[in-house]
Amino acid sequence: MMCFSISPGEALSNLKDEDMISAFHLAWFLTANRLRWPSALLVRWGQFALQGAVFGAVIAQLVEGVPHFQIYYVVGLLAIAIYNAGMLAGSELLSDAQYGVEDYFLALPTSRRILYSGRILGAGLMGLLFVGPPALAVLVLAGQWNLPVALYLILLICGISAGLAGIGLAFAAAFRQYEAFLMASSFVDAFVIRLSAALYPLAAMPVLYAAVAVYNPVSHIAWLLQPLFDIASPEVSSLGSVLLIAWIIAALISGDLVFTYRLEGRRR
Amino acid sequence: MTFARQTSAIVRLDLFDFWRTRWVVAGFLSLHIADALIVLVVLDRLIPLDYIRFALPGVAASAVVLAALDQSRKVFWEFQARTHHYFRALPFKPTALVLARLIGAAVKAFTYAVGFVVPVAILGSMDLGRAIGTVGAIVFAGMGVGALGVAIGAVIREFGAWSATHSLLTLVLVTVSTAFYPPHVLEVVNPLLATAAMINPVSGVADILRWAFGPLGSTDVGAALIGPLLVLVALMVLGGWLYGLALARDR
Repeated sequence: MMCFSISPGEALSNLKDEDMISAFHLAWFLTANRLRWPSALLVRWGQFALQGAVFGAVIAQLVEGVPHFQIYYVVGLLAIAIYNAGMLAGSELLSDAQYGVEDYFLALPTSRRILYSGRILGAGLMGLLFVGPPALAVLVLAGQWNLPVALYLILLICGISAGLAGIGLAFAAAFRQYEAFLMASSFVDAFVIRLSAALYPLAAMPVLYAAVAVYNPVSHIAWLLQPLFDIASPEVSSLGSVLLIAWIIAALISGDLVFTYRLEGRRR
Repeated sequence: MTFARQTSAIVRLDLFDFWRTRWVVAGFLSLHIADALIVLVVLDRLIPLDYIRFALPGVAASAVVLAALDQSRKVFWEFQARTHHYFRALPFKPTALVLARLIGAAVKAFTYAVGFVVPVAILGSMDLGRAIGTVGAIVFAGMGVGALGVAIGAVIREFGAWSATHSLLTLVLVTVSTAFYPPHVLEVVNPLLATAAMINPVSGVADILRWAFGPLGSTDVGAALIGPLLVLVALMVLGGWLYGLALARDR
């Protein structure tokens, strides 16, 4: 049932247990569907290992003024991977629309909001699968392993991936055409990732770039992760966490609104 | 139809297909433009060498490799959609088809990468003779790396395995090379990496660009090119042979 008259916050609180179960079922279906090529997981982990172990190690030999640059870089890669896991939800939506899977979902006796929640939860699960194992491996390699930190890390990965999926879904639902979305998201992702303080400290960036990086969600993810890996991060502040939470809430609300109103041509 | 016309017909087809697949071109452009405008500028402030001038040829070299390897996507989907039967049905010599695929990769690589070579030339010192040399090097590297892509596309028939191989190969070629760091630093991290980078075509293209537009001199680049040159010749032979074999077998 479509429910246009209530706000997303109200709708979320109105979800019943059976609705949540439906959303979890959908999340699991989407994840299992994505894993029909398990090699995708191995590629993600392999790319992460190669970039961290080779590019990170060699560039760390060249960089001056940033202590333990390799671990800084690797944690930045984790932050980027979390952002990518969230944004992947958008391309999944349009890919499903292209191959008719979304039509099947829309024909089910379930509300758009459940479909949206399922995709959000699915993104969290994907983040966990794609980023969780490498993140835990880095925690061990950095000598920072302990159970509460590991659990907190898992929670962060899952929560932020799911939260940022709202941006991906809003972006995808706004475009609706797969090729146009892929083109636009290539540019947006490339610039969002590089104009962040994930791969290099904010202090090293030119003023113009740093001004953008301060408000970039990828920077805030990196700053949130850095203390867990014992990286002294002068940028960490309560304001940063508030900004990241604001980003996630804005992402979820805009994703929900665009997803609900743009599907099947229901524009407002 | 002459051999040359048969070859050029397929080359044109590959070139137009590449530029028509706008999401692929957009993906490549976003990556290389963002690297050149942001990553190099920031790292230049952290690395005590003229890093933009050093690494910009690396961005151009990775552009050559990505565009040439895209031939893998073309060949893979042709076998999936079975449109290779169409090519087999044409009154074309099989050798023309194989050669066209390699030249097609080189032309794609050149037309895409030229936009990244121009800033390298602007920032460096211009020598017409050397600049012409870089055109030959890019075309040759495009053919060799394209042959590797063609081999992957022709041999692997499962999407997940193909996609994984293609992605990881691209990353290995760009990362284990001297595109973004000098060879002596690779040697410090791991001598094996330095050896692999010595024979990597990406290193070869980056070094040729540094030789043509500075800062490398002729003495630095001569011996360094023998390894990549031999690898490219081997890749062309292997890729051409495997593609020809796949076409002949899959009738």
